[in-house]
Amino acid sequence: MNTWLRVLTLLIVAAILQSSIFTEMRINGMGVELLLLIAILSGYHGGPVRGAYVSFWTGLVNDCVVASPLGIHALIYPVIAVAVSNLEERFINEKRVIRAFGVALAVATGVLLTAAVGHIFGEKTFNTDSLPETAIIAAVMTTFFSKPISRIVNWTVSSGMPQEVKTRIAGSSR
Amino acid sequence: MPNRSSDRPRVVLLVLMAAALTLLTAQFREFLPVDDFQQGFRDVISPFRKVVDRSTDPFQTVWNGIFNYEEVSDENERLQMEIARMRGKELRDEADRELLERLLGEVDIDYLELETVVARIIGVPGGNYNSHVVEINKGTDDGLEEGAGVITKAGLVGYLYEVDRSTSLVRLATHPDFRVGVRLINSQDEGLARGNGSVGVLILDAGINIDTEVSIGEVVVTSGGRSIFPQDIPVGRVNDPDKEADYARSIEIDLSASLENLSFLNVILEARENQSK
Repeated sequence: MNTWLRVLTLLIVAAILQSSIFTEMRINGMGVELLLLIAILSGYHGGPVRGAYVSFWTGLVNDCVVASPLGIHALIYPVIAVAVSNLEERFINEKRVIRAFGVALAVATGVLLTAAVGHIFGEKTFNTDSLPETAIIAAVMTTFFSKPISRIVNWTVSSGMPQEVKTRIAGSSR
Repeated sequence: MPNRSSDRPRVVLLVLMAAALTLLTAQFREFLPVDDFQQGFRDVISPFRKVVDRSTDPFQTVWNGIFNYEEVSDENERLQMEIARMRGKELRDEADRELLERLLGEVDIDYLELETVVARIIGVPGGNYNSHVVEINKGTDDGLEEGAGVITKAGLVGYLYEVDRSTSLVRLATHPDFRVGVRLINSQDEGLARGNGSVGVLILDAGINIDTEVSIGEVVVTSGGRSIFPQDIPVGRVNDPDKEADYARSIEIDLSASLENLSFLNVILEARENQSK
């Protein structure tokens, strides 16, 4: 299947899930940021350029789903994806718990950045007193789903990319 | 010499950010295709949403049982107290109702006669940024239009700010972007009230004279005029008249409709026609 067809399918399915079951699954009014997670993982698996494109469209889809001004999430998600892609090499060999922490940190950063941009553009409900709590709960809940979503995003965005080549340097412990 | 491979992501990122800013500008300038794109996308996924919602209902019930048990328990307790309060204070309620009817009768108010569509609340929109917004199960297919006022028998609730084919989003009166022209029944002074993000409260801080006599419990209704709301819809009662204000007055109004415990709403049809009445 063509990569962009896969991406389209993934985004439509994610939009349906985000606006149905993930809207109901809330703790203290805060919920999973599925589309932000896809943006982060597309940067992680797809590299900076492909990650930026995929996350841009992911942001637009999120803007449609949550009825925010079109472009707010699309402005932030590519930045997050490129940043994650640049940090990917440092995290790839780390333990699972460290990588999970990295995902949580990226989600929390995404939530805070989106709130900041929303506030700049006059969206008064984006930046509230409960924002730090929102970022933490959303990060924890979203990270819980990162393992299965990571596999799907990897399959979706990595098609056609060069396979990973494992090298071993003489004397290296890794 | 610049490294082309490391420059490309930056160029792509800049182009995408410029595209996002262009879309945002178009949206704020009310460029219609942008709105249509968003509504069209939601309309396309809406039937699939409903299927997923129905098929995951048992899971959602379990989730709410685990994570919102306290809330459900509190709600139960609240409802039991409400029943007890209603039974015990029936006489006072009756007196209050008579007073309200008398006050509203004095200004020839018949807001209950407005043509409305009854809608059910189906939840809140997705994401973590949509506080003070609820989603209802009626849309353009049912004759609803953006900007239509939303009320209950108790009074003002909010207005429709996004209307899709089969669903709509209601911006509640407590939303920080909510504005409504109101009138104080006793003094007949008119002003502009706004939501401030607090539960059940509107702030009236524009248009009321500093020396106007405002009493606690005074009934407040919509003023109509150029507002999207027809006139004389009950808004609430004055909770704090801010009598000690020196310069700018900030009157606190307790909303008459309880926005936290809504199930069904009435959407006013033909807002524009009602407005001109």
